[in-house]
This record gives sequence, C-alpha cells and structure tokens, in this order.
Amino acid sequence: MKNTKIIITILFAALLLASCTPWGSPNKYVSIFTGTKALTLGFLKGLPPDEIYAPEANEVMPFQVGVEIQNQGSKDIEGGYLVLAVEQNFMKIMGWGSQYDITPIGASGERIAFSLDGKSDINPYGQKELYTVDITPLSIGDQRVQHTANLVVTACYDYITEMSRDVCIDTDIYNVNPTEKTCQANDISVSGGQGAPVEVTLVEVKMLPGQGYVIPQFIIHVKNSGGGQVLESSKISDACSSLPLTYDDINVIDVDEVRFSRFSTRGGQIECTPDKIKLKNEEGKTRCQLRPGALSSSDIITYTTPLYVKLSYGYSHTISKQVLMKNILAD
Amino acid sequence: MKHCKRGVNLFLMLVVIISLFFLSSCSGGFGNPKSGEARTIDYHTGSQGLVLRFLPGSPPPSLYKGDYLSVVVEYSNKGAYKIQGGQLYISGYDPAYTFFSPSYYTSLTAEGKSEFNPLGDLSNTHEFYVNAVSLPPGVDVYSPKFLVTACYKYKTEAYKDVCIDPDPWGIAPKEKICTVHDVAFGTQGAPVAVTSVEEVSSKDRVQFKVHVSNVGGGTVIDNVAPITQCNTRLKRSDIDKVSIIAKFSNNFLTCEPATIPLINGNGISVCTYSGRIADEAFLTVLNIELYYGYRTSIQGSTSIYDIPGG
Repeated sequence: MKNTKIIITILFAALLLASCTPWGSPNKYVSIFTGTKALTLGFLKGLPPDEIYAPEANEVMPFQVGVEIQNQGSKDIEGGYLVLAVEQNFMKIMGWGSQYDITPIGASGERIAFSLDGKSDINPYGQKELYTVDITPLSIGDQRVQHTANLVVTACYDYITEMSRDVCIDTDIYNVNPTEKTCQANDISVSGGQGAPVEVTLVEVKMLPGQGYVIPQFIIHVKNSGGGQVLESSKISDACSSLPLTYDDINVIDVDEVRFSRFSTRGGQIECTPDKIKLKNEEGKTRCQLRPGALSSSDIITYTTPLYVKLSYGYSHTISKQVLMKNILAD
Repeated sequence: MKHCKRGVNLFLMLVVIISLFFLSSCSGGFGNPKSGEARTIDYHTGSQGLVLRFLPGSPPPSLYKGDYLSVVVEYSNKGAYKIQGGQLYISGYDPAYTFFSPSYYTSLTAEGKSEFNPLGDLSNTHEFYVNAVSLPPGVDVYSPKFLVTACYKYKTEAYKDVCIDPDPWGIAPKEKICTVHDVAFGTQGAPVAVTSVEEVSSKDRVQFKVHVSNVGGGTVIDNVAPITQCNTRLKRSDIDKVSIIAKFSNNFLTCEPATIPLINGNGISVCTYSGRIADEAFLTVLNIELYYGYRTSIQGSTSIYDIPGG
C-alpha cells in the first residue's frame, strides 16, 4: 500500500514537471504590434453629469468634465492635440485641472497639447492620462424649461503603422533552373492589426521576370480600422482648430518606407505608386516594386526575408456627450 | 532439512535457466566444421548515397537577436563508392542579414561502405555558424529557412551473371550450360541503380538493354557538369543524365546512348558487342558502371526574435 502511494506520487510529480516550459523561452513571445486601436478617449462616469441646472444670470454653478485618454497602440504620441468644445451661448470653460498651454479654438473651445507613450514590453497597456476641466453653465433664459447642450472632445495626433512579415523572394519564377527552393512567393494575408488604427490587411506578392533579373512587386492593401478619421499628417493642428479641412487633407496616408533585404524606398531601389495612399471607403492600396536590374536571378537563389512597411498619417477621434440643462427657475 | 533441500533445488533450477539463456545466445562453437567458410559481405546494396541530417537542436527552433546561430550538418556515405571533392552548401536565407562563417560552403569527403564501415555509419559533421544573428530595423521576428545541399560525383557498379549463347535458336541437339534470359538487379549501394537488363544474343552479336533508375530521392547531375556552385549554376541540360560503361569478359560494349537521359527518373541504354564471341554458350559476368553527379538536400528553419525592451 505504502509503495503504491510512493509510485503514484512520483508519477504525479513527473506529470507536473512535464508541463513546465523553460524559463524565458522565446516561444512565449507576444507581439505588441497587434490590434487596431491607438488613442482611446472616454468621459469619466458622471463627469459631466447627465443633467445640470442652468443658473440665473450672473450666477456661477460650475461642474467638471473628466476625460481619460489612453494610448493603446504600439507607437508613442508626441505633440498631439486635445480640444474641448462647448456650446458657446450655454456653457463656458473656466479652467483646466492642471497648468497647460491653452489655445483658444473658435469662440467656445480650448486646446491643449499632449504626449502619451504607447504599448511596450514594460507597459503592455499603454500610457493613460486624465484631464479635468471646470465648466460653468450659462443661463438658458427665463422662457426655456430645459436645453440639451453638447460637449465635444476631439483628439488629433500623428501616428505610424509598422508591419513586417516574411516574404519569399523567388528569383526563378518559371522554374527554369533546377535549383531547389525553400519557399513559394505567396500573398501575405495579415490580420489582427499592427497596433495602430490604420492596418495593412494584405500584401500581394508578384515576381516579375526580366532579362537575367527579377522584379519583386508588392501591392500593399491598407484599411482604416480605428473608427476615427485619417488625416494628412501635416494637418493635425488644423483638424483640431477652427480652420477648415479640404478633401485633399483627409484620408491620406504617407508610405514612409518599404524595405526588404538591402533594398528600400529610402535608398531609391524601391518605388511606390502612389507614395501617398488616398483612402476610399476606408481602404486603399499602393504598388511598390524593385527597380529593374537590382536583383539578379542567376546568382541569387530563392530566399525568405522580412518585408517591412511603414506608414505615417494623422488621426483624429471625437467623442461627445449631451448634457441636459434644466432651468433652475422652472422647478 | 526439508526447507534446505527445497532451497537448493530452487537454486539449481535458477542456475539451469540462466545457463540456458547464455547458451542460446551463442552462435557456432570453437572447432565448428562450418567456421572455415569465408564470410562475405556485399557492400553493393542499398539505394542511398550521401545521407544528410541536422544534429538534434540544430538549427535551434528560436533565438534572440545577437545570439550565436549554429547549423550543424551530419553526413554519412551509405553507398559503396567513396566521395571525394564534393561540395556542401547552405542557402535559402537572406544574405543581407545572415553571414555564415567561415563560408556558406565547404568541400566534403566521405568514405563509403567497406569492411571497416559495413553499414556506412561512419559520419562527419560540419558546422555553419553565425557569431551574432541580426534583424533588420523595425522587424520583430524573422524566420529564415536553411537549405543544406550536398553535390558530389558518384559511381554505380552492377555485376550479374549472364549467358552468352552464339546459337540461341539452334536446332542441333546439344546440351547448353546456360540459357539466355533477362536479368533483374537489386540495389547496388548507390542512388542510381541498374534495375534490369534484357539480353538478345546471336552468333556475331550480343545486345543488352540496360534499364537504370534514380532510386536515391535526389537529383542526378551529368557527370561532365561541374558540381561547384551546383545550388545556383546548374542548368536544365545538366541534370538527369547518367554515363554508362558496360563490359563482359574484358570486352567493352558500345552503349547507345552513352549518356543516358532520365525521364521521370528512368532511362535506357542499349549496349552491343559485335563480333564472334565463342562457339558454345557460356556464363560470364556482365559488368555495368554508371557515372554521374548527385545532389541531395535537407531543410531546416529557425525564428529570430527582437530582444524585449531592445
């Protein structure tokens, strides 16, 4: 009986040990470059309240607005803008909770700048910040019983999408030479996002033949999946101001860099057309190909290499809340 | 007393059983009349040439940027012919980021099967290594694939008894020592094998239709094509060709084609000897030699991760 118990204990211990994995095994790697969120905005619960009383003339009955922003993307935001706009005749911004450089926007809005770190290995959730603003409601007049006022918060910032996936560079697409290949030049389907609101969804891979060389071509498909508005990256200040935006200012993504092996757009070996992607129905694409003659097909055999794509753009989000202003005199 | 006697009986029974086990493992005995016969081992069997394999854990399934990467290949010649001046290459990776030391290729020599190496298990190893693996900027993970290719010259030697009959359809009633018939071959300790021979014999001519086949699973290379850089410089016209030399009784046959093209791994050559051979049927050894190059390869991969926080 005693021996049976010992055997059972040893077997159980062996089972437990078998389930262990080595400390620091790279197989447990979790990428931060996933998801389609970047900056998230939200009002704190009850700030602002759903209902307030509109005071009499010259009376001050302030309330607070609390806005929490968090950078849940993979890139840091620097020099972003946060705008709070209120209805001009019904509310007035008294002041922000801390010392900020405030820029008046239009007749009833105020803007501050912010920076937030994105997700990282030491902070997998992204940096969070809370802003509080004191607002005083204005009188809605003697005739009205109540008025529904809008509070709007807009964030505008520059962002980057980076994607890298292994791609097969097939230097003998028609299998003319009897060389063995380690891969096939297949399209790359990308899902789950890259930790940014604009994601690369598909890369079509084509190998175009030439005389003694091959021309790798990549058609890169992108999509705005963040729920906000893509902007020309130089227009984020205008987007968070009272200045108007034109059709050319919105839905524009810069193809910053496309690179594989020793070739890149920055080095001039790869050319992308267009180099500024215009989104239609939140989607767009660009065609990038290697300069003819740059990759010999006779001396280099098929190999696998990372394809790196970097996109830059501006982005804006808006949240709003309706506050019911009740006439204090009406009760 | 009774217990003592029982114990002794049990002990004796145990000794007998153990002795039987030992005796049953013996094969032959000292002074066995059959021990005078010579034991011959034919090394010309099997369908393999050079066999490659990665050592366990090589390449590693994953590693971090900056780590040492070792790809160790073990090779052994499971055929009957010695390999000299062969080439071993590693490819399939992006040379812009991965630099193997001291080089991406090396020469190889491998002893074939012999009395000192009857199973061809004598093996050698070669290590391709990278002192510190790198990743391109902005890339989290890269999974290069490695193709290790061996190219070498090889020879197949096939021997079989054949009957040479100058008068196979003669009506004169005479006893013949043998009759002409087709011959089937087994494997010959090489990746290209003679599979069968069809014989046609007459007064002044004997003809053998030799069937050959690529049985090794690799790629056959023309014997005259260079095997250096066989992973990049081979042309379509260089592969699937085998050179043949055939003879019997020191009479060389004329083989057509002398360089056999293989289609779907199979080929045929008709080897003919013209001239008066003998007056009577006789048994002799048909000796066929095939000369060719051969390519075999194995694949492995690893994943290189960026250092967390780096």
